Amino acid sequence: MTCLPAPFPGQKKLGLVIDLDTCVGCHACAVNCKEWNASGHSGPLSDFEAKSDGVWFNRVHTYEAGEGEASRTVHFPRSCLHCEEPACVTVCPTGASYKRAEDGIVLVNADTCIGCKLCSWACPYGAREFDEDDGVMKKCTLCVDKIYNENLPEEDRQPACVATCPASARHFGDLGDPNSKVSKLVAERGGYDLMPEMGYKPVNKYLPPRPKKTGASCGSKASEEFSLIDLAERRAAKDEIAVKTGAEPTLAKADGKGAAFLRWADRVLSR
Amino acid sequence: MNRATAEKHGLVDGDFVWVTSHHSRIKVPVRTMEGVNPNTVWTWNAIGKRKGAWNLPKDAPEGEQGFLLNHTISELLPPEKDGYRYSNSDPVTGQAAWYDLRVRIEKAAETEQACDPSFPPLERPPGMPDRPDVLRFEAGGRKQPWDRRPDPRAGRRAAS
Repeated sequence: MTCLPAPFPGQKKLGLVIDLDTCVGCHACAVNCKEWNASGHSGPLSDFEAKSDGVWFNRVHTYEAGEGEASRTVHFPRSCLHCEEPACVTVCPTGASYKRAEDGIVLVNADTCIGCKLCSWACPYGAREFDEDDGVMKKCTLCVDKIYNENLPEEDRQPACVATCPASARHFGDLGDPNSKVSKLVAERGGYDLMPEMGYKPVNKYLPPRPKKTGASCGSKASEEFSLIDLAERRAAKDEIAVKTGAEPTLAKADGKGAAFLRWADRVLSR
Repeated sequence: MNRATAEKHGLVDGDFVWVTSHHSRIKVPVRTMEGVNPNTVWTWNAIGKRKGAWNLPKDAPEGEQGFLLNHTISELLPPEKDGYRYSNSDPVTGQAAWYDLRVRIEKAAETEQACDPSFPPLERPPGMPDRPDVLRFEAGGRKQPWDRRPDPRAGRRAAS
């Protein structure tokens, strides 16, 4: 019912690249997003006590995958993917939901939104957030009021979720440009679309977790006791290699003063 | 707690267990996971709140399902042979030792499916206003949804 802008060659596709390998599930993205957007044109982003829930443009889901030694915890941050063919826009009866031709950001005009919630039914990613208090649909704006804001220093002109991520798991850029930093990152790390079978061509990409390391190098073997002595010996071995290659040793050798200290510390701490 | 360990104890998600230390014991719900050492149990610090505290509703999950470990942890270690009790803190840094408490886990009876200890709800302090049902942080001066104003932040930023 609402038309999408006609695609043209060289079109900008602003979006996020989210690294599931380094995301630690701290929810800083969700909180900083709410902080910025609650005081912007979408605000307030109401919270409802009865539901213990509220309007959040970013949500982080944490899953465990696999069993036993092979298991891993995956933190999955979820927000609008700014699809190339967003059904949430085409389903809108009033034209309130729209996709910007110039950069591909999907937005809602709250003045013409009638709160019918059709878009939230149409979005398979659950990215739409209905504010019952305001009676209108709200969503991630990719911080459109921040990324173009000339009152801010240039390095701050990125979405709030990206700016705050302490693990640098979120990257922002033009995914329409194959030479952009984010496009290169996607190519390098095998970034993928979320549910591509739905056909909405999401712009945001996810980078998969890297294979889990096993063995002594990450201390996953319960039988392998970790102690400072081991550390000293390992460092000494490393230093021997360093000596052979002419590099500076990182610590005294196992028979030196450093190791004696470590043996003492090991003894004291294991009492 | 680790899922395999829980299975050994005949526990599934949501079961209540007694967690007993040398100091005291608490009764808490279990949640199983893979990503934890089989011999370790853990919880968040201060996830539990007394009912009515922090102006939360009296049936808030923090009061109903949340719990505190504090009851199981003593400031002093158990007595030595000579009766002396060392401080329950890290010998090098002096930091309170919260991470090495030895506990015993026992499944709670069918009739005991609630957190323990549980204290009566706190009453609202005199003069504290009603708790709002809807929170509208940074609502600014906007009174009605249709009373839309220009972005106040843009103006403030420009002025500074």
